[in-house]
Amino acid sequence: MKTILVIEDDATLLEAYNLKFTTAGYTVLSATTGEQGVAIANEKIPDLVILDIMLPTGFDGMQVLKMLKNDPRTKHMPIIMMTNIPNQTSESIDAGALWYFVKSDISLDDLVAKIKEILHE
Amino acid sequence: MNDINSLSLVLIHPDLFRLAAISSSDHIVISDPDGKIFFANDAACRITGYSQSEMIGHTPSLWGRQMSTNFYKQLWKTIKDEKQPFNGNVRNKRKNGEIYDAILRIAPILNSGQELIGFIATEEDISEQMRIDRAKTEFISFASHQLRSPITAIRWYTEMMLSEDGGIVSERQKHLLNESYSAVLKMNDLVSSFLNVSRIELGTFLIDPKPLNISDIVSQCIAELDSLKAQKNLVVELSFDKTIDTLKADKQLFIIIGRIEKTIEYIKFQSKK
Repeated sequence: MKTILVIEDDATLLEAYNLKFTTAGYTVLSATTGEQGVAIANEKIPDLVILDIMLPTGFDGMQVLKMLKNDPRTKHMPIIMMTNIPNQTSESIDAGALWYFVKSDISLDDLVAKIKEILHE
Repeated sequence: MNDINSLSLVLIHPDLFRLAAISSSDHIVISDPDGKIFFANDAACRITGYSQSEMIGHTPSLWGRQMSTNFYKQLWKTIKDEKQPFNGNVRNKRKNGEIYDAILRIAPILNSGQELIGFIATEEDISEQMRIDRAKTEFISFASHQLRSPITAIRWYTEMMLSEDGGIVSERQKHLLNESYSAVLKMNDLVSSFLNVSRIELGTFLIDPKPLNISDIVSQCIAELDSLKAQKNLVVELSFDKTIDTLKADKQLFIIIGRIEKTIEYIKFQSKK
């Protein structure tokens, strides 16, 4: 069973990701801060990371992305960036994110389909 | 009051007009045809930060020069060559270095032979209004951004219920959930529009071009207008030239939908006539 790490500070959205990805057959790891997310990514080496850009405390999503992409242990992980405002699209792709979505513009079914495509399922 | 009476009043009460110009709360400057200042009122000193003695004999470039060369070229062409008034928004610099925004109005002063003998310029400092406008726009941007999270939550949980991730849902319940789902998608479009407008006003709007298929966009727009088509009893037939390629653009569908909705309203209006 493949593992997805979700780094998201909004508890309601975190629960939605959790429910959907579990139903879709994935093991879900959750983090509500950038620091926690980096620690879990290093320890558990998930198959894919869902990363919120706007994290209110500590590292923001862009910093987390750069840290994961600069670490040999985690640089291979596909990372999907999620945001409320599409203002760092090019920056995240340049920093190594595989995909970028505005949360309210994508359905969870489409997100799961994209994950399956990325993980070759 | 006609021109003769106006002139008589100036001749009889020259001091009245001088005092009125000095006391005006708007910046007033009078210059010769080359722009050299020979009168500046108190408000001009207060707004620019320069004293009258510093302004007299100089041109308004003392606190200007913040706009493009082309702007000043057009200004001089209007007031000097065409002898026409000029109105426009300008950005100037106070003596202390602070930049301010103003509405500038310049009128050429012509003698009875229509020869140019000088200019009268007024400036209204609108920096505070601009600051308030910007604060309002920033608030709209912030509020729209904050609304996105609850909208996403409503959208995703409704989708999960419709996908029966939380258990079996009856057809009747699915119908009700679909209505709720359509409403939240519309709300999302509305919030996106607010956000885009505020970002245009704040100068932070970024165009994010991606390869898009024109026929897919049009088909999607038409599909999203099903309820309107039914209301107006319209049948929409789609046919696309097979040679249509992709284009690189930002997927601002709401613009296209807005235009189609207006067209349908227009059809309704025409049919009533």
